[in-house]
Amino acid sequence: MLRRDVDSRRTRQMRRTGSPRRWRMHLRIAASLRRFAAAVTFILLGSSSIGGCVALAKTETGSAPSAQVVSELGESATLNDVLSICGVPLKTIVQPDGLLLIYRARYSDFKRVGFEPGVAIGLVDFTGIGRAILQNIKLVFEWGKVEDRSLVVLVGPEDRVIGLAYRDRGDDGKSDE
Amino acid sequence: MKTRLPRTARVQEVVFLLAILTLFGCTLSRLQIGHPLDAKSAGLVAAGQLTGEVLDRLGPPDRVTLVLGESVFEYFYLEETDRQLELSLFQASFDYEQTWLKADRLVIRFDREGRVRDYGINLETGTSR
Repeated sequence: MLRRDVDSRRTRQMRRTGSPRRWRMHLRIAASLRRFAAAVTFILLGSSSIGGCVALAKTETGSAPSAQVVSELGESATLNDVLSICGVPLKTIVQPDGLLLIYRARYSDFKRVGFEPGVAIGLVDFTGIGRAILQNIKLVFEWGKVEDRSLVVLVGPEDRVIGLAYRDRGDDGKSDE
Repeated sequence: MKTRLPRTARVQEVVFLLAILTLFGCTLSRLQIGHPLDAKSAGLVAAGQLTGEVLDRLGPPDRVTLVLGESVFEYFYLEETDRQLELSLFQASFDYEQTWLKADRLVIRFDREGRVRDYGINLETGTSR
């Protein structure tokens, strides 16, 4: 490559980035950023295996009959049939048009995934403001769901089932019509 | 001779630094309660319908209450989203928390004869179909 080509290229670069001094400063900043990024990557990758956390929690409260049990209830089932097939309801409400029996089981499902390399930094002999800053590094995701399985039976004044609705976890409980 | 840092490398550095900064003290959480409501649910209810018909069309209500001898069925779906930022430096600390609670609710009120008197639906979450 001819010397004048090199010179003209350098001139073009300088024109784009300003003076050579400013250009060198920019390179220094870029290099220090790269070093910082590499150091943080190293710390994150090295300590995430120690500083991570996973929590799972599931609870089940109450009870409701399964879909199979509910299917045993015929159209002309009496209050006695409902109680013997489905058991004792959680709640009984006297309605103007009959007796409402409510069965409900509540399921909750919680998950927590934490990424806390800052915890692991405590194991390294590293002090000062850098440590105080790095201890803030934390990313936690939490999500939970609360669902019901419920059965509501309406027994009319003539002691016959006149309304029934069942919903299991994950379905909408509506009739297919 | 030192060469100029390529543009892509600079972009990568900035993206990486931003990614690192987002790690600082963040907690993101989401809680869902109940089943999402169908936007068409309200269309399935009509004044004068009997309790049994409502149960058949909408399924079991999430809550049943009695108000002065009249029953009220409530179907609901709740979504809570929470974002939290916690920063500390030696003895100083900064906490910031944002919480959104949105609810989809369908409320049906029955008269003393067990027929639908009135009803209303409110969809806030955007999750319901």
